[in-house]
Amino acid sequence: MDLLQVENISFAYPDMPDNLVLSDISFSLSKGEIVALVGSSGVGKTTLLNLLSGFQKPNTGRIFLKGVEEEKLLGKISYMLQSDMLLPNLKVIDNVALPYLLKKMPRKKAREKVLPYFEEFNLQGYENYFPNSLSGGMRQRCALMRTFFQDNEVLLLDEPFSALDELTRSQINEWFLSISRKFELSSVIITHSLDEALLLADKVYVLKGKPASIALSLTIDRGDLSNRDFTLDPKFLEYKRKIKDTLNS
Amino acid sequence: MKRKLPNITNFLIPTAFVVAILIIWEVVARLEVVPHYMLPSFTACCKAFVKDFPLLMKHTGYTLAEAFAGLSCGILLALVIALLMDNSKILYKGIKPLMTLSQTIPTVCIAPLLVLWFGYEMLPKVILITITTFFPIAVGLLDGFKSVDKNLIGLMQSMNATKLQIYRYAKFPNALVGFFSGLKISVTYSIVGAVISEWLGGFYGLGVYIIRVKKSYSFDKMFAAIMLISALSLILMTICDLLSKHFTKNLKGEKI
Repeated sequence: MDLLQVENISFAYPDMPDNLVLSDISFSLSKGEIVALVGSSGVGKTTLLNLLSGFQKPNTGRIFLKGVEEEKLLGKISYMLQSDMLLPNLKVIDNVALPYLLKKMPRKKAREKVLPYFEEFNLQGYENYFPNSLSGGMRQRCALMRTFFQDNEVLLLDEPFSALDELTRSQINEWFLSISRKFELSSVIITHSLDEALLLADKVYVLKGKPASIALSLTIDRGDLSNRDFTLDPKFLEYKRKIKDTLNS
Repeated sequence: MKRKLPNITNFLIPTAFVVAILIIWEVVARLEVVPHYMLPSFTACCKAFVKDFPLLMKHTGYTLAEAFAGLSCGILLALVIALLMDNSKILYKGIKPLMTLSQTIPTVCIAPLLVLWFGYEMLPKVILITITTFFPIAVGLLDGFKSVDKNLIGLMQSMNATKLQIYRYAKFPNALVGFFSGLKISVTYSIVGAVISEWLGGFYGLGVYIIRVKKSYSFDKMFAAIMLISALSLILMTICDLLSKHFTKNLKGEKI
């Protein structure tokens, strides 16, 4: 059974009801799968994540979580925004434990719950730092860790690594893949980088048009290739060409 | 070493300017460019300060008590108003012009009315200080509450945060910088407000002391009291500055 299933979603902002932003979007996400959404700026990718997270409601269409249609999604799907949104007045450990603190768990217990994971997220030793002393990559990992502890099965990630330099981004992509596999994370990720989409995702959906719809869906077959080898593989270039052709057509 | 140098110059330059003004003052007074009874020398004022020190301290105690009571009420009022305005569009639109209006009325005009209504004791003074001090703090707090990133609020709501938790973790920390900026202005207002209200009626306080020494033409004592008022304002502003640095040190370069 699919973990998340999106069926024929359409959406227009309430102040412009005749101007559809998204039209007839359908896709699904299975357990442990990563789905990437690509498309040009302003096409409606973030709007789609806002609908999936429950920030906004679609005009038509249905969203299923583990086969059950959900009317109120807010709080049932974890969302990591483009900006890391770390709280500067809280230590890293408390930022990470925020979902538990908001559930009114005592601070000591919340810290105990998140502490064992710091090594996994390459943040060991930084637990008692404040966010302003972390690097960009560390901040993103911290935000991702906080998203992870929202304890929902589906993660929505809106350009999570876009602010990072190329080298850090490639390292963090590798790391993200490894923790996704280890914890069987199921994520919908927005990215502007086609390379990133192809390296991370099991499925890539290309959003295009006004209103935006899915113009191309690709299932990525990496075989047993490592990320580095996959980028040199003809299949990688073929996928990339298809996406570019769709975006440019 | 390189960092120490600007710190030293930051201290030395203003100090040199103050010392220069004091020297000019002393010379002008000693040469009697202005008659001595109109402008006593700086050293004469210092002597008057030492001579009247116990009495000045007694009056200072009253002025500070009024200032702190008024400032505390001002902070409380600012907090209540900022919270109300942040939570209701109707209250925001209704209170905003009233808040601005409250600041257009000169303090010296309200003070006699307050004395008339509430007598010569502490209450009218505290009310006056409250009226003059709440505004900068309320503006700072409200700006902080309103400028929190809406995405962060959305994110916290997606984690099922309550309104109180959103204030605790996002809105109050974001309002700290604005709060302390307002507080720095308000502490000086509180001392000035206390002195003005004491001028217009009362038995104790630096304002009362100034009126009394003025009537006896003891301008050296008057200058001593003025210098004391300035010193008090500066000390309180410095305390605010230190508190602000302590509580906002992790917010540097960050936007909530």
